[in-house]
Amino acid sequence: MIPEQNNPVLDSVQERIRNIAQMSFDMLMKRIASGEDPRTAINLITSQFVGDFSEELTAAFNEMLMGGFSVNDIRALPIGKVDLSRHLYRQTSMTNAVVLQAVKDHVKGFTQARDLAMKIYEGYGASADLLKIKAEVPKYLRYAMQDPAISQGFMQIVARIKANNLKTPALKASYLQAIDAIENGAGQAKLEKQLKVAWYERNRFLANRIAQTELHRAYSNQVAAELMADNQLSWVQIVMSRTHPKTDICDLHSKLNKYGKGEGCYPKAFAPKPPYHPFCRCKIIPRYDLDGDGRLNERAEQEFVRSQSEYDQRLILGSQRKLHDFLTGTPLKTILSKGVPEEYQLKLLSDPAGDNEIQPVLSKQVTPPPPVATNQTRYWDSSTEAGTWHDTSFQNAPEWIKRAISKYKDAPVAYKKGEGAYCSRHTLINMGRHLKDNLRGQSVWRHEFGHWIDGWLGHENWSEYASSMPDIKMAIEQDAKLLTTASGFARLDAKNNARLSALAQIYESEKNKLIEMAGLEERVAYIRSKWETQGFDFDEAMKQLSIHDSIQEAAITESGYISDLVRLNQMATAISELDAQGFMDAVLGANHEYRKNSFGAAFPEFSDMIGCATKNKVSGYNKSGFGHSNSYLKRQGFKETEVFANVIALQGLGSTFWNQLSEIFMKNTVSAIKAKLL
Amino acid sequence: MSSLQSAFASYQAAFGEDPPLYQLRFYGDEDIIDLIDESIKKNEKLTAEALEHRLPPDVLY
Repeated sequence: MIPEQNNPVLDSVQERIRNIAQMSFDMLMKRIASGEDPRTAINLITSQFVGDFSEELTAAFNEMLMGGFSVNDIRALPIGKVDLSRHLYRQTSMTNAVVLQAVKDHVKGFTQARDLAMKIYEGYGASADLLKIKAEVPKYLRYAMQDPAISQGFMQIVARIKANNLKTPALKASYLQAIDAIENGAGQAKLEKQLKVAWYERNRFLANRIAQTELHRAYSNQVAAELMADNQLSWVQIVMSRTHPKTDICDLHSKLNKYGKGEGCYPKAFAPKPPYHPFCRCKIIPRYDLDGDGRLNERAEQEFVRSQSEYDQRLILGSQRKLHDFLTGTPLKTILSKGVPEEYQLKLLSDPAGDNEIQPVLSKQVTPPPPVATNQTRYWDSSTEAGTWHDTSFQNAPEWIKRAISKYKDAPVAYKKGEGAYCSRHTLINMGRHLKDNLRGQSVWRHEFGHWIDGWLGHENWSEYASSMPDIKMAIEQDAKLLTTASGFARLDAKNNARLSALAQIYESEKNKLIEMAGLEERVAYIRSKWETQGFDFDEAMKQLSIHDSIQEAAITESGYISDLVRLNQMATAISELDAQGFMDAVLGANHEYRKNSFGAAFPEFSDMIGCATKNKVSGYNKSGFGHSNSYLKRQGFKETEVFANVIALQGLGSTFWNQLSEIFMKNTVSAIKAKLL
Repeated sequence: MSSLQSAFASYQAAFGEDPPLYQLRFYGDEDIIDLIDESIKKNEKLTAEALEHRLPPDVLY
């Protein structure tokens, strides 16, 4: 259904509800007038009204969603915490109690008015001039008689006395009959007026509110699911209904230019999903004409609200109190969610319909999620595009990373031909033409999703990326200082030159020691012992190194390439010296001859992590050829966010080898990021 | 030799050095091959900065 088809259905159901409410009300009044017990009449008519309403609502759902919904399906539709059936029962029970009380009060009130009028009349003597009595009664009684019911009752009594004094029996009878008719008619009209509000208006309004809001919610869920499944579409626009009556929160959602693409335009995954309030008719319009990534303005909401008049600011936020909270920094989402049941809190287009809501039906079938063992915790939805990347890339990740993935929304994924992978904050992750079954693709996904987590974590707690928060930033600085000193690149001075010489001597001495050993067995035992002394599982380390072609497996299984054994030994030595440069030199070979072999490995991320932390003083782009360029790292916050992404990428691999390695070289940073995400 | 390795070998032969591997690893195989082909045809080396500038502004890679 296209958006324009939505409003006629809503208008039509509104009219149909008005008709059935009117018909039911007429029937109710007829039964009460005919002397039927009011309680029985009200219960019967209400029950018929609820039945008719459920049928009308079912017809409207079927018309709007082109689905095969039965009345029972619609009665089971959740409204808040209960289904429609129970919700209507509660609501009509309360209405009926009010209506019954109105009927009782009415009868009582009319009787009381007559009694009072009679007392007034009797108290002042029947022989007095009837027309003057009113003027002569005490003031407090005159006030009492200003009540139309009393006044009317009084005048009727006067009329009745006058009629009784008539001498012609036929005339007397016809006068008295007329007075009876007036008296009953007045009572009936008054009762009808009261019940029109108590029964008709209340039932019509509440039924219509449910119909309008729930139909629009189901419709929006359907549209959202269709738009989210459309790979050609990146942007949507929120548009208010032309009949929108007054300024409210819809004005903010539909006029906010948060991403620089125009009023109400959002990357589709981040668009707020209507309805935003009962009776809301805001629409989601696909914007195929918009492309690119936009420019997020974190302060857009504040700027928009502040640009409105004070009166409209209050209307948008809903109250003076909420406006105050908003202007003093409380996040909009917190304000809008306060006191609102979870089911009705603001959702995004990428949020699926709730478990109990009517599920959208997509004409294009979405790949069903792979079966998941019941005893496993599901951290992500494998049926989404991001979920399928998580399946291949984060399956062995530690729990603290999996929890972060589950916490931060699945990123929309784009595949743009000719473009490298990148992460556009809060907007999307472009994976270019990477493939999920490729180690390099998986590694890149872990890195890009690291940026995604960094962006969202920062958004919650900080206006910038989380990696720019003081604790993480400081940890990176501390590690960078340790790394540059350990590798002899802190400054170009004698102290560092001495460190460089010392390292060269250590590696040379280790190399000679290895060469002098009797044979392969002794050399491998020596190397194994060096790795294991530092807490590494040597076999796991070899497995990881072999995956990435950095070390020939033959080095330890056959007569051995001594050069590979020397490299393997230097890696262990470099770890003990905290010399990241020495470690990467050993990985890449003396002349970087193994650099290409590490192309798809985790080494590029390790090198980049060290390079970004140290501004390319150690390893990284300048010293190992793997990393971001100096010009990229000069941009504010970029080196920190790259370190963060690389930590997630390395730790997310789920290998004890890479976990240990990153924790040794970036001890403070890994610990600070973990603390932030735990 | 895979097409990717073949492309790297061609680049090495043309320019006597490796292309910026770190920046290239953010591309899929087919795009890397296209980039290297284009670079050899134009006789222009691929540089890290040029590859970074191909990305939209304000994104992280």
